[in-house]
Amino acid sequence: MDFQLTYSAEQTEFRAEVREWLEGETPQSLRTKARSEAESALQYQDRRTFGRKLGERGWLYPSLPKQYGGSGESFERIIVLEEESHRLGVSLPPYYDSGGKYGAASILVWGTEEQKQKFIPPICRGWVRTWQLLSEPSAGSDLAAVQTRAVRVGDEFEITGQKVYVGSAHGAERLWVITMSDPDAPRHHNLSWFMIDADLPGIDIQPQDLLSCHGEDESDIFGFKNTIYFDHVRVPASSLIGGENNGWKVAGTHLALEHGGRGNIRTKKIWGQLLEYCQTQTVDGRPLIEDWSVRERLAEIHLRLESVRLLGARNFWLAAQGTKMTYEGPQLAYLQKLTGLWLTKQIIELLGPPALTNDEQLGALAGEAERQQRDGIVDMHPGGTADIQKMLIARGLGLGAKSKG
Amino acid sequence: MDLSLTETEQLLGQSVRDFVTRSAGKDRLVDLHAQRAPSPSDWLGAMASAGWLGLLIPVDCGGSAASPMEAAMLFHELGRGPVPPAWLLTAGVCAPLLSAAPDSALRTQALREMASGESVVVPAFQVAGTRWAGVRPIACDGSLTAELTFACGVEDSTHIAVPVSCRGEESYALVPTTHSGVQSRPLTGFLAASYAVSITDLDLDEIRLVPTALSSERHEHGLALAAAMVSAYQVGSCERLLEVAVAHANERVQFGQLIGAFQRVQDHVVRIVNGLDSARWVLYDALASTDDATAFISKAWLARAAAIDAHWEAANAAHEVLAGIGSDPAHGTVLHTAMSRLLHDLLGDPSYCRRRHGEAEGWFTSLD
Repeated sequence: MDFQLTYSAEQTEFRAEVREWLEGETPQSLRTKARSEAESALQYQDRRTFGRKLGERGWLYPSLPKQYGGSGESFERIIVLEEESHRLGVSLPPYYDSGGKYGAASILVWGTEEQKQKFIPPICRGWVRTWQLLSEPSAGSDLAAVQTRAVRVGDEFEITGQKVYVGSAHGAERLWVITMSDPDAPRHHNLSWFMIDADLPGIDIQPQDLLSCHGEDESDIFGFKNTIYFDHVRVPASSLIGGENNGWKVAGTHLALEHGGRGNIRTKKIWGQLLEYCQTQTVDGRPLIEDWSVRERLAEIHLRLESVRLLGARNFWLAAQGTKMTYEGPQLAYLQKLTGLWLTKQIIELLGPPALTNDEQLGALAGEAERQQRDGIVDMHPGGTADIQKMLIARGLGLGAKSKG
Repeated sequence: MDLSLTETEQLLGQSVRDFVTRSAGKDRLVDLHAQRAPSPSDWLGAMASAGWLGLLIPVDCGGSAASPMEAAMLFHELGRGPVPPAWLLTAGVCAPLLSAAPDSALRTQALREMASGESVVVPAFQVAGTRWAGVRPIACDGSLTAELTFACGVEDSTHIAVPVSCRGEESYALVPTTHSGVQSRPLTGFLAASYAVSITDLDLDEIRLVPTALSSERHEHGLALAAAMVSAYQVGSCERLLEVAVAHANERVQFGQLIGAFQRVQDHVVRIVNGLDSARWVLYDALASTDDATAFISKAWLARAAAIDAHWEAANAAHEVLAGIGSDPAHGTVLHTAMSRLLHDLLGDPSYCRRRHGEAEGWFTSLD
């Protein structure tokens, strides 16, 4: 077993190529945090431009096949891309693209060849930004209970309903939507997915404030969620993905990815900031790090974050090998959520009230500590609550399976 | 043994609850929070005329010298709102601290004004760059210059209380928030009810100074009483979080049944009720021990530690029950969550409170 990532000469050469390209093409504006909504909005334009440049090289979604606009990169080369973009403080893709990420992967499995050619390349090339639309006021954890209706009308479907906790600021061009298409069919046999344009008549997008709303990526704090209303929205039948009333199977592909199945290799940025703060900040004239209880708590935080990081790397490796996972995806999602919430208490006990404000003078970790306080709570819910993840872990381990006969 | 509340305590609690329901309901509190607006002016008059602001103030200073348990009923109900913290801080923190000062005309005048609502005094004890280690005086030489952080309730107050030591005399300086030498800046982020206060070259001869002895037993008792009142407020907030979580669990249907039927949801609610009841009864035990000053101080700090952790955990668990909707500021739960964070370090974090308890129990002799 070797945890060390080692690279061949070809991969090292690829890293040099990626680094040089990213150094030259990554907009300066994305290398620092936006300090206002106006700056964030300007940054978004740069994110999209940069996304299109990444898309031209197939690096926006490097794991997707070349024929659909990705570059079909190997596991190792994807890691290189991730590491090098992370080095400059940008993510891949450099904007919030949940519908692109999970929609494209789902269409790859469930779409017709015509649909793959139509919908995936615009995502991979950065021509469209896509939001996923799953939750509804009465259907959160229970996704199969969505009530947004899709009714077939000739060569079209008519969609009516409401979706919540959607997207980010700055709008989207496409929407990846799960609907209920047959009220008379049994549960799990009545759902259908659509990939549709976001500007169709009858679609109304209203901002929705939450305790914490992620922006376009980890560095952007100026985001919000949206409520989206569909009022008899006509969509072409060709935008139905995976077949009518077959949506629960499509959801299985989508949710497996959203529930941590892809893994990741990134370390949580806040760790380095926290360590540096404790090493440099003095309280009552004494560096925080000199306090034994601070040292012990830092070590405990590091242990938790390292465990999560390694499980992320494990999942990334398993996914790259094509290994079938059972409980590993939801396990990672669960531990990420739980650790985020646990971290809020650890941070305030380490830093005190400066962890609770993003005030320029008084906020600890340049406001990141305060953000963690809010994110730790809000992140418990999207993509399946921690409770749902536990249920999926148990299911993955085969618990209770025999009782079904 | 009789663990029931007296009729007086119950009546007081009910009248405060009626006030909160009538004047400080969830929607109004959400609006105030969203707008960062001060509390409506009619609240002050209503609380003063009801005598609530003087519950912990001696009769000869215009208060009613109510029992700590009665006062706890007030703050418990305010915490259920949660009504903004200025009223807790003036009547539950600054009133017992100033009441613990030696008799003086200035003390009497200050307390009379606080009981009548003429002044609303909030503490500003935390000097920038320090962590809480008790009420520590700021050294002065006739003028006061200080950077004070994380002062709560400034928007609703007329004065901030600053502990000072001037020419060898310790006192609370009651600094008008409108004084030209005082600038307060609201902090952004989770602590939206907290302020940074900057005081520059303030001539202390112009300021009312209430002489006190910060390390005296009386002051320690006053501080423990203040800690107990903040705990009562947090217990009230926990109680409300429990009600909100239970109501949601009994209304929300997922997977064809009420989510309250799911064991994992039940687990979260049980987390809240366990913390709530622990904090409540440790607090009541402290409040029932006020005849024995040493025991009260010890138990009050234990109650404070229990309340802080219970409040934090109750907010987390409520969010797990409520999921997405709980993160919507309009739902109102976020007000309790923010308060659980805001009050985490007020008069000391749980670690400090536990050490104070151990010290009072005589397990060791120094907090260091």
